[in-house]
Amino acid sequence: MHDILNLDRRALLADIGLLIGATALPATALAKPAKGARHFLLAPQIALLGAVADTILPATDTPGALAAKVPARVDGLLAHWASASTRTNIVGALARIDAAAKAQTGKGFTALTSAERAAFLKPHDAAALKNVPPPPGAPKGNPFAPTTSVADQGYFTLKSLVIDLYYYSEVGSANELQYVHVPGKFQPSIKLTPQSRPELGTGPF
Amino acid sequence: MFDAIVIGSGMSGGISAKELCERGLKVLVIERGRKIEHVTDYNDRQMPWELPNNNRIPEDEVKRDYPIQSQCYAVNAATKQFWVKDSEHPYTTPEGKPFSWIRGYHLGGRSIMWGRQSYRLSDIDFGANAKDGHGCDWPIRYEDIAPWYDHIEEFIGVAGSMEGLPQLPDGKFLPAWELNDGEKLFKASVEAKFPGRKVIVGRNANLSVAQPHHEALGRNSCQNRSICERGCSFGANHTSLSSSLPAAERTGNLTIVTDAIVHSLVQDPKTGKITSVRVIDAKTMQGRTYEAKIFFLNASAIASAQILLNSRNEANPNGLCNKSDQVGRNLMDHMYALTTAGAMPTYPSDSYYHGRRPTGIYIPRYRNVTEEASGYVRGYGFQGGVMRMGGKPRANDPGIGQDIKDKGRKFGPWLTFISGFGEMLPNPNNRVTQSETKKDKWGLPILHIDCAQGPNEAAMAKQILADGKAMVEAAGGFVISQASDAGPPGLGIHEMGTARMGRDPMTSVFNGHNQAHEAPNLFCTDGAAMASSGCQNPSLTYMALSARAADFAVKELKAGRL
Repeated sequence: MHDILNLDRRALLADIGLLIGATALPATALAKPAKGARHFLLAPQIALLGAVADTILPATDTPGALAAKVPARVDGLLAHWASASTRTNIVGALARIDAAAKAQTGKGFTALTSAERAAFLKPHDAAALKNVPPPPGAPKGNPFAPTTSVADQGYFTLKSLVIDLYYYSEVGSANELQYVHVPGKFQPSIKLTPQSRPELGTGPF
Repeated sequence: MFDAIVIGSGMSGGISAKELCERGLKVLVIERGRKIEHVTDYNDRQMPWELPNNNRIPEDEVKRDYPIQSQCYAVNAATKQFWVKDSEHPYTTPEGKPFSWIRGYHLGGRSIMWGRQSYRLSDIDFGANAKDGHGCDWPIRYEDIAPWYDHIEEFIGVAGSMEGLPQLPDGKFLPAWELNDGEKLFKASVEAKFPGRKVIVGRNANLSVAQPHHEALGRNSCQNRSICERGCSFGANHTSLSSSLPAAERTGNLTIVTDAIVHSLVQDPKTGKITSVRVIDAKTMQGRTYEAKIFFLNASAIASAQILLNSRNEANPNGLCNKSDQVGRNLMDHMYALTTAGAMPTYPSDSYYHGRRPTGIYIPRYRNVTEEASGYVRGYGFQGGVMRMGGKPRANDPGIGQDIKDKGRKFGPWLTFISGFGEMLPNPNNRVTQSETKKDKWGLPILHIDCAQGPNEAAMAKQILADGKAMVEAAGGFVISQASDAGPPGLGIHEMGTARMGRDPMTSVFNGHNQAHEAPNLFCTDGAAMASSGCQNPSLTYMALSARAADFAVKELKAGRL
């Protein structure tokens, strides 16, 4: 039996769908990358992103986001995948983390120790992910691509990218889940052991 | 001069070409899209972390080039090359009546990315129009097509279980895939609570066990990767590139031309026969003509209708073979995305499975078969699965650090999802017409697609959702998420009906041999020819009709009647 009655039913399916880009803020000229640029973020922003990613998924008994090169890959997605509004949202979410850390501790987020970063980010994360009513006219989700409407959409997008890039990395998939590219035979019934890990999926089905 | 020209290289065109080539005809296949190569043009060997942008298409590109195609679940960075750019291939719809026309223009067409679900129609379907008066009666019955279903299933390889159901005839199947433990429990509960319903494993065109005749074409058994829509380097799913075109090619009778967009057919006004096909070179924009003795339209439902409409001339101002005024009408798709998802708290927490089985469960139609229906005719089936939650954690759950990793490692509850596929009635007002003013970059008229689900579909959709909830609950689960409406028409990607078969030339376009009433050497065996839609995934029927019509056409040709 599982403790599923305590789960948020609306949120339960959120990981089945593809990431829904959060686009609440208007695009700004600032969010345009230089043509042909391999990087989108500036060095201090990359340092901040690295600190945030390392706090969201630190090295524990398994490697963390830094070992999976998540910051560089998020930067790559900002340069090559994200729209201007998504970039603005993510850059805004990073800036809000830094500003709130400064207001609260007197130090920028990167200047904090690992323990201080975690102590700061945990309540920030909870507040940012608080469900709010979707804005009027927001696209309706479906059971496979539910929409998410939270207090800080930019933070949600950022955290989604960090988690996706980690679990879809060689390091993350090998250490946290199991991924076999060519499973061969389908085995319909396997008895779980304490060592068993869920398989990384490759798509909605 | 060829013996036969097949227009389109997708699901039905590949089979038409194979069957005609195997009967000794010199065949030209005309494909509007580019040439792609089996295996070398697929992205199925890349590991997840090797795909560009974590398998996402850039957001601005989606908005600019793929706003409609991206509604399809199979569109991602690994498959992007297989979908048309909406920006390059426009069509119009009336305000407030969207139609999602999902397309792939390349050798093999949508057979590369298809969902592979393969179900026979039954006499309940072939007799439906005659019974309730919607549409025109099918000119064939199940016994006419049954041997051709056998023929196609053996060739393409369909894995499935024998069930003995009148509404879903059994076929020549490869060994069925096995149900997982959650699905077995779901099946037992649903079948016990609803004696007229069956939960079976999905029948699909993936080689559960490759047979020697599959291996002779370079095809191998399925490896349970479930990334079929990227193209399969093992050749384990039937596509034109893995299966039908190689079979055609080995006869030595096949010629393929790509980047050739069919403009129109040319008809001899004296004999009524088609003499040639006019094409536009997609790259150079130059026009040219190909001649043959017989012609197969396999461009896909909407495109085949467009070719007939665009072949209009002074004697046929409404389009070729259109004295019935049915060309472009009766557009149907299956109602789609009527999904119910439920958690199954009592299912075994210590059971799992390994591998990504390339099919799910199927609940064959029971409404108006074993159970009554209130307020609508026809029926629906369900596709879905029962699977274990868990794996990559959700970003919207609060928590960081070890919390996230712990969640990812934990197996969640079993989840049931079942999605209704409902039959859409043939309605002459659901139609495709050509713009008189707007043209695409090749100078072809832009299509206007005016299609909507009607009251029968609305009543059915309501029942699909009610039944979905009832079945999840009968199996001990509770609903956690449910769709509120069907997806836009077109998104089922089962468009059909736009040049239907029938007995009467005044109400239909093609006869019981898929032969045009008004042009004896013209055949159409794609979705356009369907007189009704059933609720089963239709590709298997298109392929069976293609093989059957090819056999007839060659016999007629050899008898000197064409």
